[in-house]
Amino acid sequence: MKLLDRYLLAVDKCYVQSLNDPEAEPYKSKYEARKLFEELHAENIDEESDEIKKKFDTLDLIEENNKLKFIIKKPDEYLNEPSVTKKHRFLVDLLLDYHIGTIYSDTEEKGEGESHLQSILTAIEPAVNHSLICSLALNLLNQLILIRTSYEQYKEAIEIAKRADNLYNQSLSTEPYLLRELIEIDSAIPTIDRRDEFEQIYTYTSFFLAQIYAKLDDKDQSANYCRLTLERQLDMFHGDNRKHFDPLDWATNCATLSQYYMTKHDYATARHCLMCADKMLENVVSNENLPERTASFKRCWIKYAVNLLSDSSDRLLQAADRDVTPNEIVRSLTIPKFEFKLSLPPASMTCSYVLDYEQARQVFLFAMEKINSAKSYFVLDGFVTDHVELCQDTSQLYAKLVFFESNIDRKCKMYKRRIDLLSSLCKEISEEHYLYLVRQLLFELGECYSILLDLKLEQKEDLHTIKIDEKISHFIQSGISTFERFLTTMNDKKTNEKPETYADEYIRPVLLAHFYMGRFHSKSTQDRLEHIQQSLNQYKTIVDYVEKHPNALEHIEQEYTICKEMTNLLPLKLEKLRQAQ
Amino acid sequence: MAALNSSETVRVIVRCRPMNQREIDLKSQTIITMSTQLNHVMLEHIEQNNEPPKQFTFDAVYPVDSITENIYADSVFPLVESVLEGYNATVFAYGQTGCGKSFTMQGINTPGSLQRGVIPRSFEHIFEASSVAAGTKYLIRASYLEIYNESIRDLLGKDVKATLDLKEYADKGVQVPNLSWHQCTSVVECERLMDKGNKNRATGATLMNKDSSRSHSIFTILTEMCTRSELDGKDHIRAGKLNLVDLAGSERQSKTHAEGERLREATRINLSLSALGNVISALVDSHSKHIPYRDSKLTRLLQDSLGGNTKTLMIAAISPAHDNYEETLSTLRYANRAKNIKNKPHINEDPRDAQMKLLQEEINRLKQELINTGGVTRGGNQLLAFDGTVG
Repeated sequence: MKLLDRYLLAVDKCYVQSLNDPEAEPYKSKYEARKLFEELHAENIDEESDEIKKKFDTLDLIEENNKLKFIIKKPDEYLNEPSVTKKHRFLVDLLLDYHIGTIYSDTEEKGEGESHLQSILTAIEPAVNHSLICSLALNLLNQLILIRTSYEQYKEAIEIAKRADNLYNQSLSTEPYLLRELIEIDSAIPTIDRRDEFEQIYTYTSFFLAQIYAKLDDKDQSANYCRLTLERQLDMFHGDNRKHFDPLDWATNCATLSQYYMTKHDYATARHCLMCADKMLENVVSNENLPERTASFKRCWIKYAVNLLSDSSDRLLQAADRDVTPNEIVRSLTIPKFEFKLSLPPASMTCSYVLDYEQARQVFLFAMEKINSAKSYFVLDGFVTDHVELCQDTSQLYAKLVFFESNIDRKCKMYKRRIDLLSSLCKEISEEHYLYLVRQLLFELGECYSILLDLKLEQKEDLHTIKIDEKISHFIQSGISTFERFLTTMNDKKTNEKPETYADEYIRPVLLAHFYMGRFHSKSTQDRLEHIQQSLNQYKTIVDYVEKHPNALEHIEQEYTICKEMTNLLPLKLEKLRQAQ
Repeated sequence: MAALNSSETVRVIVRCRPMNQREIDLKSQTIITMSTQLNHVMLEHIEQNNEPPKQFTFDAVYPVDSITENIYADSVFPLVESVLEGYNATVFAYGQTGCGKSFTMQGINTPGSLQRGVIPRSFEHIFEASSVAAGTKYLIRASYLEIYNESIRDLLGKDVKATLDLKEYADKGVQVPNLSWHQCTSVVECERLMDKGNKNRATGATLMNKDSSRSHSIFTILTEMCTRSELDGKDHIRAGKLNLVDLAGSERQSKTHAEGERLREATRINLSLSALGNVISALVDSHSKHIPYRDSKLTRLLQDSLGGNTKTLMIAAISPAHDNYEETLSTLRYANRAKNIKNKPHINEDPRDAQMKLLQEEINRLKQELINTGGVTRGGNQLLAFDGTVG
């Protein structure tokens, strides 16, 4: 068998067959492959083709510090080593050592692996841009990056990556022969295929850098390299090299990237990413995941809308507080940080902060359309968690929109919508199986009753009718029972007793629930004595809990002051009421 | 019992097995030290001695001389008891091959052996309860599934290659419709089912050319208890589920396909571009976002456990030998992350500035009211009667 064939067998064993190694012998194939590579050092090389002879015209071999090194032959100088056979032999040996070094590294002998790889790099460093060397060099650098990273030496890894950058940029017009072609050039391979393979190696460099920056907690840089990786993948797609390219995957990653920029308040970039994701879906040929993924991207848009409305109202509030224009708080960014090379339709959603009800309504309607569409895939019975989240998004959209609405009647209607939505959901899902969802829904529902109550009380000042009184009474009852149910979900399953101590993430909601109930009771117009007593009890519960658990204070500081005052004042009021009776 | 108790968090324990013969022959050094008082595990890195040992804290740690009987009594017994009371419980077993996971979970299967594993002990616990309970009828059924590459397979089904779906039912929670359930009336029957499933797992691995260490398996025992109430003469049924989850080891350092999974610990560089999505989503740190691919099947299937309604235990198995350093570090980090895998609810709060203002106004009004009608002195809390005398 020829050297090349034996080499290819060893490569297959090392990188492909090893994936199926049994659990008890995870490195079986790799050890076998290493032996094969080692044996190939002794194997004869066939006579070189003319093509490779020509390549060795510009690649010279010298000895430095007792070590052999490749260098680029200086123009107008003679070759130090004229023998192609010698140079070829050395090159092939380096290639074999490369795999051997990688195997050491893969099989947890990193020290050994690194020294192998490092000495290869030293031997080829001066000639990294040569067409016979560049692919080997880039692969080597990637391996060294991985090893450095495994020692958590991220800065060093990044330095190596910079060398890879340089190598890549200097090799843009070089013919990057594939690794196996270092043994025998395959004239059937078109340049473009070699180029694509080389590009793919560099794409991995980007990908590794994205992860390294993430480990350094430099999210911006990490996102930048993720974006670069996506860009490089897109280039392959455009270059008709679709071998490695999966449009659904690419679109999904792009949509995910949008969420990063969205949370950074960069709506222009987030919008661009989402639009590219949508566009790329058009290239997905029937895939069983397509309906789910399409619905999923809509949810990214929904979050975009919710966040945009939320930031917009915050901005206006801050501007009002500081008595400046909104632009002085933060300007809308309308130009994305980067643009993927895809032709996009005109945007149907703004990326600027909204200023008034009309603009907010546009965002609201856009998002509602996405919600309804997504819900047709994520139906309740089958996708409970997803469906509930979509309903919560709906509730949040109303919550953000109401900020821009000034008419009380219309505000009331919006809260009524939220209440209907949330309360029907609570009835439809099993508390036992979706406990944390039910808690979220109940709390939000209770808050809606509270705010709606306040609105009705405000309306009552202008328009005192029996109907309003009835409504007020109803909201008080419903609010109380909602928060009571919320608190009950926290009780011990067996004894139904209230816990002595609540977990940190529940302290605020629980105490707030009592706070709301205190307020609800105080607004009741009938049985005043009874209700004020209940109100007092609720405020006392909060004060008692904070006294027993001083660490709870930080979760509820503002409300606590009010509670304390109430526990002082309400007994006096009660006394007054009793005397009046 | 507080909401702080074990049904709202994952209890994580670590067990270190003794050196095995191969390691002794190779003169391996011990790099693990444990403090059972402080529940610490210390991991040394022999090659880098100027580095301090890495320290991890867990709910309990069991050193090389520990016995499974104690582990069961401390950590597993309360879980199985709660199953018999009609609640759900989940036990996760995690560890690299050869680190003692099987030893802890299966163990030396002789009745009475101190090192009899957690699984046979659980079976025994359940069947013992069913045999002594007077007036309660028990129906005990088991199922066994595998998750590989995000595909679910029934290890006790007729067609082991068929993949099953997950569905979230509004009333029943997350289920795998078409998963087969098999009645068991004894410990032996349960063990036979598990053996059968294990064989199918191995066969499937060979048939489909896959790496069985990369799959998770879930053996579930459903215990339905029917008691006729003396009060109303009606039958009351309680049902408890015990999930025994065998977690896949972390990926080896090779060009393997990476799975997107919340539990997966990530200290290593992912070599496969299929993990790009994970890298990007790890950057998104906020509640109001949507990551557009499915949560892993494992996470969704065990949602009950992660949702706060189930007692959950993770047992991580490690080796003391220095040549397992990487794997041991990986396991300890994984177990460390497991402490936080419960779903934390995000309670949406509406903006409340307006409301707080109203409340403050109310307090002021209340104070004013009480002053005006002589109910309170201006400065203090003494009660002034209407006629001005102090009461």
